[in-house]
Amino acid sequence: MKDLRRFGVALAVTVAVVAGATSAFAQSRGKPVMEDYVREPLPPGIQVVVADFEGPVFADASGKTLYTWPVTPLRNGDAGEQKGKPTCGEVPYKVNAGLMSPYPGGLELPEVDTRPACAQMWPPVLAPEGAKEVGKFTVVSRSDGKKQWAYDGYALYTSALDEMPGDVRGGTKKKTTRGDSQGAGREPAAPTENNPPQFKVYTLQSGRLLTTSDSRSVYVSDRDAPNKSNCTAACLNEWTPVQAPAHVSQQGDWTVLDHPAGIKQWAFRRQPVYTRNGDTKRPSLEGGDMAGWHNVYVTKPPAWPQGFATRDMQSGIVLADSQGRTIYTYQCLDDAVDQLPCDYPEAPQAYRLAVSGRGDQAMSMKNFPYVLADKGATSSSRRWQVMSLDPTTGKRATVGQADAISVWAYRGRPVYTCTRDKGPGDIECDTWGEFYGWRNGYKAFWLRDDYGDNDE
Amino acid sequence: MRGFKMLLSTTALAAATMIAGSAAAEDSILKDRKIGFVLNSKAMAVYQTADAKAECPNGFNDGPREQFVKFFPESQKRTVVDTQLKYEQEWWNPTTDTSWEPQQFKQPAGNIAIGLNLDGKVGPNDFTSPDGETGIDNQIYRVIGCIVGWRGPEGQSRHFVRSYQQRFDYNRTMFEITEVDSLTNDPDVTVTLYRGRDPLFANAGGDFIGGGSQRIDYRWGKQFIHAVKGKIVDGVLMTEPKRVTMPESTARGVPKMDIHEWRLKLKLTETSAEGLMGGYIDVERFYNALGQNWGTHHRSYGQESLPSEYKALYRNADAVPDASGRNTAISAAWDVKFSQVYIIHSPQQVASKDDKGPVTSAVPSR
Repeated sequence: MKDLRRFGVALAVTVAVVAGATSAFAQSRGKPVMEDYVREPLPPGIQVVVADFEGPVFADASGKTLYTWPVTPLRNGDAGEQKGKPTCGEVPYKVNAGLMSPYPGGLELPEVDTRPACAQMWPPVLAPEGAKEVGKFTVVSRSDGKKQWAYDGYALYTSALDEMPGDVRGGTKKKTTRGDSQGAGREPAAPTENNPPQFKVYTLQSGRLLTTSDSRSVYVSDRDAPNKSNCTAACLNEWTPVQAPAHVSQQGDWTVLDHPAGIKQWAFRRQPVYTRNGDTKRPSLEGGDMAGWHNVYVTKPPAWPQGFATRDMQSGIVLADSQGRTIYTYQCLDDAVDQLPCDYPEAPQAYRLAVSGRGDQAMSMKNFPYVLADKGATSSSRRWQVMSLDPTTGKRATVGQADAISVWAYRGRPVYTCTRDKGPGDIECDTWGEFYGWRNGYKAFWLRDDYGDNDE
Repeated sequence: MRGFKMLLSTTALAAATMIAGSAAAEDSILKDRKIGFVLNSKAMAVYQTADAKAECPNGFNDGPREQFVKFFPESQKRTVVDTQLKYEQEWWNPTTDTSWEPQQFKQPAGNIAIGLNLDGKVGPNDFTSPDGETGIDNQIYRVIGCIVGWRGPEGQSRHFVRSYQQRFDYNRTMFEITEVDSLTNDPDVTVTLYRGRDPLFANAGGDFIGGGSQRIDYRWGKQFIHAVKGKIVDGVLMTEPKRVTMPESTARGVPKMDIHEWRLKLKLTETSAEGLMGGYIDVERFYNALGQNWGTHHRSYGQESLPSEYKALYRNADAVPDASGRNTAISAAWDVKFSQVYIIHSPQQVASKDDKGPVTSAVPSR
């Protein structure tokens, strides 16, 4: 909780110069800390951008994030691309594929006459004639004979949802194994994290959390000094130093220290790291509740809008608006072969209106009100933005539209409250919609979930 | 004759030994005048015969797939908006308008149902239990009795609710009886509900057994702590009715139920408690929890149409009228089984700052 509050107020970030400040030592130095990654050779026109939540991602020359679309098993078949075989094409689909139970395929898609082709939503990153592979970047052939860049075998695309460099609205590094519930989504292509093999990073709503390779959270202590552990005797009953190999050299943010118990111990950004013996969930935020102990984030999310705050719920913490009402996000992927998103304002609103208001925008606004932004409200990050909507359709307002409303949006999608919530602490509309709110529905903005995976 | 006397005295001695042994064990397990139990099985109480013909003479209800085909035949031009999303809008924004249903909802026939007499009365709509007790209030049986997913032994809702509740250390329901002097007869005990946070204790065969331990979830589970008075008569615990917020076992959605006049009627032993749980469920909370825990795809497994259930829930609701006089809660009963457990009351441990080891804080650290 302390951590959540801290990152909520401390970080005013701009794209590509992310402050992932987690370490007390790093913060004390007052310098923003950027998430480290393994440098690798890049083809001409491709770069690494460090986004303000997702951390390092590959981008094209204009800074637009690159995505892949790995094949994902759905309820009634697979969607996505296999390595070396791009399928996201130029012809718009007209009907659904029936990949998501229980509905059959062959149903005409909403707003079919204006439905974009896959390649319009996900423009392929074309490679020039004669382009040669560079490291893990290879060249694959599209069905029309054009050449396309691929990374680790998967064809690369940009997203029509991204408006500016550093936007990562087309996908997320968060848990992507919900294919059977959520559909086959896109993932940002990213360089390898620069961590020893004993560690990995989990992307949670609360930030990019450092864990061991077997998903145990790692912690740091206020009582330690830079590269010196003071956790001895009884402290070791509860905390276990993460042991480093006897022979290992410094790597990026990582150093090795001699623990008083006579072992080598890893330190991240000069802070000795531990696992907590009492943790039962992987990963866990419980150890961060202990006085003087903190989870370790390699990148923390940008500040949320002014006035927003956290609230305790039945299994963790959610984000709430200035009046304490739980914030909800809306998720939607359609069921066509190309699995286009339907949760942003330019997409057909019929999906959202079905679950929120019997197909009616007025009823939907009554049941799931937008979170209105104060006049002149601004955001310090691209993650949170004020968006102008047409209240009669739920779509983006036209320039100068008289009755337009200004609402808060997260990742380019409006956020909502729910009228079934009667007061602060209520959360009646979590997982409202199909497949626990993942396929066509609403989910509470979980920042921590000690029992489930709502924050992943 | 002598032999008979000898047999009698041996039997008496054995009985006396058993009683003494029982008393000793009871003394042991009740040494602090308390005993805890943790839920290891819960299913809505559904009376059913072997072939279902007595209670469901017209068969079982349609589920989403069957209704979809009847509503939107393949011979018509079908769009996502006019079929799938029409169905989803009924699912997530239901009404009591029965003209929407493609066929009449099938309610169980007959007047037999499992449950408790919640209001102490024998009314015209009440059931009689299989062993002859009249006045049984379990109107939700009229809603779920002929839906495949709710029926035993392996209806999908029934199976997965129980499976989730056993597998995941989440929403562990437990209660502790305090101020108890005997598990056979005690006219005044206190029963406190808690949410536990540890795995169930099982033997090598997978059977849940007594003797495990559970920590109380003080960090997030305060809303699930409720204390109620009760009594034990001839080894059966009965609690007074109380409105409670009860953890629901599935691990998604809004995992709780709002139950009016909740109570227990359980046969107690030193290692288990088994019987019925009853009360009036808030219809809206119950309905929403169904969809939030499992959407259209999952409910299709058990031929369970939530829009049809919603109408049936309000048709049969029998308590908590709103301002318009419409009942908003429905009587229900659950078959429940508990294992004895040692409930650990220590609040969350917090590491000390002087490194002398963990200390206990009365208030969980935030």
